Amino acid sequence: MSGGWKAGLSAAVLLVFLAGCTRYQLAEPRLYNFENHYLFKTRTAWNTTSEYRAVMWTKSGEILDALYFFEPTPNGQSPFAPESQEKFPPFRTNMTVLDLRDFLTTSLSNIKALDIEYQSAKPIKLGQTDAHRFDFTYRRKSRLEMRGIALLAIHDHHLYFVLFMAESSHYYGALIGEVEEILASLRVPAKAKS
Amino acid sequence: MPCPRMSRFVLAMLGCILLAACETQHFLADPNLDLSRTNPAILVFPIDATLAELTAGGSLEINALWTQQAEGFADEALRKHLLGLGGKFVEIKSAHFDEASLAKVSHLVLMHSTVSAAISRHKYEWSEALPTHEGRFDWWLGQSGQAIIERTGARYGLFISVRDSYAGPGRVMLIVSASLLLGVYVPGGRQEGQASLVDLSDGRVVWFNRLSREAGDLRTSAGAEETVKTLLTGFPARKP
Amino acid sequence: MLPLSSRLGALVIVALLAAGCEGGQPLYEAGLKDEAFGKFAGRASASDEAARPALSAEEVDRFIRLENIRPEERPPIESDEAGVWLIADRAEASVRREADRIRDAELNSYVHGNVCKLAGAYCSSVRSYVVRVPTFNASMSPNGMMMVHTGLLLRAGNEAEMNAVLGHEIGHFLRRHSVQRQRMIAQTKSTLAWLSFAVALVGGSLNLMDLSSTIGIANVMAYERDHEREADGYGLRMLFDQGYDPRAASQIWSRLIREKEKAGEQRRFNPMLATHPAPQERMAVLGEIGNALAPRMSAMELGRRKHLSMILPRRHMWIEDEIRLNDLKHADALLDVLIEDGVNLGELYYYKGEAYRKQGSKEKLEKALEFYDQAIGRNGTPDRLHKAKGLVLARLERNAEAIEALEKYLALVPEDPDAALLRSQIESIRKKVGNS
Repeated sequence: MSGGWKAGLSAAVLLVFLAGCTRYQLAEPRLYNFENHYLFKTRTAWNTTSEYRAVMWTKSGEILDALYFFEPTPNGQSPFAPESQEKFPPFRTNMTVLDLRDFLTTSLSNIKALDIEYQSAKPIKLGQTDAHRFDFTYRRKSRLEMRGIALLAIHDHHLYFVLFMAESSHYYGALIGEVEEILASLRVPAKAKS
Repeated sequence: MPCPRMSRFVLAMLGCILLAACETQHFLADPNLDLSRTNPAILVFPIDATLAELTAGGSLEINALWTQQAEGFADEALRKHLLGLGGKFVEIKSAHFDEASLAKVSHLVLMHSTVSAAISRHKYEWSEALPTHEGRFDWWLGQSGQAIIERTGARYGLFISVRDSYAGPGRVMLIVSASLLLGVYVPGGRQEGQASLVDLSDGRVVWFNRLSREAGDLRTSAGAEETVKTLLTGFPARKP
Repeated sequence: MLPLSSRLGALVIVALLAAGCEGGQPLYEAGLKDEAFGKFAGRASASDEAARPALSAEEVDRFIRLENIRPEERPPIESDEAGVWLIADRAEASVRREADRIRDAELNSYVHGNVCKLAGAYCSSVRSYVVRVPTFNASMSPNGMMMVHTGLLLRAGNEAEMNAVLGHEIGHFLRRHSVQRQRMIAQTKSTLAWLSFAVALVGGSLNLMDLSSTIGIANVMAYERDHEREADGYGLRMLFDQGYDPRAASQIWSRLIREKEKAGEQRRFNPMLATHPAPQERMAVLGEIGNALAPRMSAMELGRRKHLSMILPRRHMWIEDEIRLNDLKHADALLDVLIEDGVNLGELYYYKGEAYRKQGSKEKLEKALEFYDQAIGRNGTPDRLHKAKGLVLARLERNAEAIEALEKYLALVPEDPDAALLRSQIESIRKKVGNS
């Protein structure tokens, strides 16, 4: 095959790709309202994409940092996987704060987090809604140290769950200011009765 | 899902494919950076090479002898090239590290491999491009490099890795027969390389290059010189 | 009656053992392998007759009649085997750093001590790493890196059972199975590539290609299963030489089969996909030979006490890893098999409760309480049982009992880092009771 032929073919393949879509969209700085589940604002731009049952925000790609807003999860299901997938523990509306932490640990270990340690567990408010905040660290198999924050609220029989995880030596520190601002602005609106 | 606008990166990619000239594609954090002005010492991390023979059926058989020789050839070629640019050369082998600074070195290496994976994904795969990173190159490895500056006096760290494969006799026979008798193209060996330069004072990746082609040969010293030269395309040092 | 393939597999192993035992010198050091195994190579392959075309003498030479590696030998750098070692050496450098490697020196030296005992002159050639992985497994790299999963240590009832598996892995190393496998796969793929060329040349159909690649894959799988059988023979041989009860090799398979049966995981054996012989075959063959060997030993040991002294202080961590897989049937079956084994039942019933607690439905929480109650008063029951029990009771809104359990726990372990959370939990229950 000659070089020119190959180049032509590659260009054609690339054009086909161009017709498709990229995975990440730009999230401009503004006020956000995710289907009236989460209300928050950001002052900087992020990259965003949809994952299973979650909207993911990232600055440098999820290998290095990720902020997840999970769709409210009903009793008996996991925010991480469809019902049929057994390895993630189900959320239950009667969970105590320690059960929620245990639920978080088991869920994270099934996304390959090792040596999970909690630095703190604090009661917080998301607007009118009571919630718990867990600050934690873990290691990836490669031994890369990660740091994270989980906000969990049981509200209207569902689990509201926001999770931030980032590489600890640079990316966590570089982002924590912006993330804390987002979390401080976060509201879980009272359910509009339909 | 809304479709985004075509990025500059894609246009550049398209352009160079049409010109059949994109064996390499590099990024610079600061387009004005020029190492030949300051001639800083550069710490060269051990070259990570893997050379393999491609069998008729497409298996890659790693060749330890070629690999060992290639590491020697590439090391030599790299030294020559950097000295030619006026840089000073520091080898990690000759540097002395105590346990604490050794831990910093492994942290830097681990960060480098993690961040390189992110760069490869988000800067080279167009469907994975991050909108906030468009038109800029902004990647960091943390503060561990400072311990290396203290120990070695080097200001920059250079990481090189190459995966190189060559069609073995069986594969060559298959390539020739398929092209002569069937007019079908069967791919031969490939060379895939990656090089990155890191500012050890703040951990920023200042230059990153990726090489991918069906050419190049690290089994000879002349071939290694050519490969190193190609791999250092766009290296931020302009000899006066 | 065993299936034909198993009987032939057994024959090979018996022949192998007989050749070694009569020689008076350990087979795996003398390199008698070629004579002993070469003769039976054809028959070993016949054990997967359906899937495997006959091998030519030259192929047998290349793949089967390979000398054992010698102690402290490194393959010459120009060989294909050196390439296989190079990749393994790099993988080992990663394994040393990785977060799931267990850095417990005492445990690692227990495992490596056993590796050395079994491997004899090869002691310094084999490096073992205990890794925190909750599956019944161990693996061997061509360069002598052995990975031992905590899931194996947890399930082995004694040193002999653990050593049957460690010896098996050493067998893979001595017989250079990795390089043999690489050669086999490369050759199969090359044959298929030429075949597809020939098919294309005569304008043949794709169906023919599908068929031949199917045969090719089955061929490789059958080949790998023969390696497993060969390694099983080595494991058994090493138990025999070191004075361990040779029936232990079959024992550990029987434990695993019981566990799989309880978990309802009995899958049908698929010759296209199985890289290992069916556990039933391995249990039966190893049992048959083990039973025949045992009477020939003047003294033999299981090494149970030593093994338990190493495993029991650590197994809670490994059971927790298994439970975190969040597969209730799996955890239930594993714990039932450990309960049959009968040591520190309090700990085991506590963890059964924990596995049910994770599922969190009312029915599962009630079941969890039953297991906690079964644990109380038995050996090894941890204090944190009362914490777990209190939390379950709170979720079931059995408030008075919940407060009682949590207070009992705080009295037992006042320095628990969760003490503040537990106290606020007690307060909130009290408030709830007061309000209602």
